[in-house]
Amino acid sequence: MNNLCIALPTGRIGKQIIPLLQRSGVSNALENISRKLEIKDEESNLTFIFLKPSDIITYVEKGVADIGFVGKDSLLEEDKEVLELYDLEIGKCKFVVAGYKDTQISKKEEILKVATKYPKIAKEFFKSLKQSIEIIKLNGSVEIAPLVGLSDVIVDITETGTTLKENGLEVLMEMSDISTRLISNKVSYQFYKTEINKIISDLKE
Amino acid sequence: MSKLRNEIEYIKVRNKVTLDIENLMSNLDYIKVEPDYFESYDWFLNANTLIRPTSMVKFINPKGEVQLLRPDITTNIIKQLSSYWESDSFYKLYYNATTFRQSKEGITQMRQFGIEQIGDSSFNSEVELLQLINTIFSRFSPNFILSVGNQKVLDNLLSSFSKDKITRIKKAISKRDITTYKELVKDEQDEMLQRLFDLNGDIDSVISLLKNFKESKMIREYSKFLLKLKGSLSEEELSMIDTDLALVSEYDYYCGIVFQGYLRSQSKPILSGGRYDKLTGKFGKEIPAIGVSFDLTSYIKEVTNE
Repeated sequence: MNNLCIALPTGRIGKQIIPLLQRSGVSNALENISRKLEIKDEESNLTFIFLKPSDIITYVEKGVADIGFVGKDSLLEEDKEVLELYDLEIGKCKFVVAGYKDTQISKKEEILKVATKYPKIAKEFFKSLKQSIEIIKLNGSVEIAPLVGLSDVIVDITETGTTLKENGLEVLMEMSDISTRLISNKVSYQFYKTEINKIISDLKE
Repeated sequence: MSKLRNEIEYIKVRNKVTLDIENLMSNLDYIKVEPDYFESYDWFLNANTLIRPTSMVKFINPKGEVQLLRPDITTNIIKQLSSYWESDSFYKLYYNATTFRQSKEGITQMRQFGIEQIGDSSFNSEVELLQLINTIFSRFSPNFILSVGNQKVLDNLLSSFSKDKITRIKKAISKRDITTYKELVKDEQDEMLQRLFDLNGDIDSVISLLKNFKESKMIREYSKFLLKLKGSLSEEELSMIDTDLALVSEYDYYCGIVFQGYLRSQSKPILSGGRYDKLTGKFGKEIPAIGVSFDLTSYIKEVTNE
């Protein structure tokens, strides 16, 4: 039988998931990772690959990875056909609209300028508010956009709100809750159901 | 081997596989049909409310009407047949045709092979189709699984919810997002609803599990359906089947048995189908109909990999 291939995110969330996998007994092979991109755990028939969070959905959707760990923010933005099997309840944060105090979100006929890394999510949210917007797509440091007059508001994820405050911004509206999910694709789930459900029940304990 | 020789070898395999399957269909008295290339956009969306409009290839005809390059064949065939349907007719049809979808990469063409039985409401059609699927796909065993559900039972279970809530529940079910699903149905007492995702596995296990549930009309109906399946198929045919009441299709016209087939080496389901009497009803008269279609290109690719 082939090893089950698990895609883990590099960065902050990956650092939270690895001890979780160790503590729950899923794998003992994640001790000394250093810069390795692939780790095989022959004892548990698992292969771990380390990817940029934004690539995990692609690898799982294409079946290269059988399961992966990724934030709900990426899942909402990418909107790919993957299964969302389990909410790990880590990496918890919120999608918010933020800007300078007293900034009007509801501008009736006027177009609201929104800077964001998540154009799809921002568009859907403001469509539900029936507010016309102009999207300014950025890849980072979104908080600066209102400061330099690039946008009226931003749509971003926030954990504690500290970064927003430090840049003189405040939460104008909360949108949705985000956390890390375990994802899979339909085919992998069919053939590895037992193994995947065992990992989920180990993580639950 | 040179690229050209590779390509010729592939074409030979493709032609042989296609001929073998088409001969199988003819020997079982199925008639080959040719579907239209174009559909009316409004009409198609009305018949298939769960498909994403953005995935369809649209164009404007000389009359200014929005049309589609066919994304699906079944609706097309039923529309053609319904115009000259006579009662007590029974047709066994098949097709081998290209469908078109829009993706970020552009227009994707897929060669789709489909089998339809129209006019028979008895379980014989279900059995014959499942046996055909086994005949065509058993060469890939154990790397082929057929997931079988029941849209009628599932829709009845969800019938007390509003249309909007049903859409959200079905979206959660299709993603196997148990957390969201449980949140949406938390106020319901029905045991089948609460334990929907447990009703998944080989027929014998699920039948056993259902015996532990508090008796209800839906439990009786679903158990009866599973027992009928078990009684109609051989050991080999049953061995490829994984029953799953949480099987949801992107087409909302299914009204009985539904199935999806998976090959281990592929990242998407290769086959889907079910009973769709409700679709024929959209054309005026409800005619019993059941069908299955699969991606012939992926099938041939799998054969060449053998």
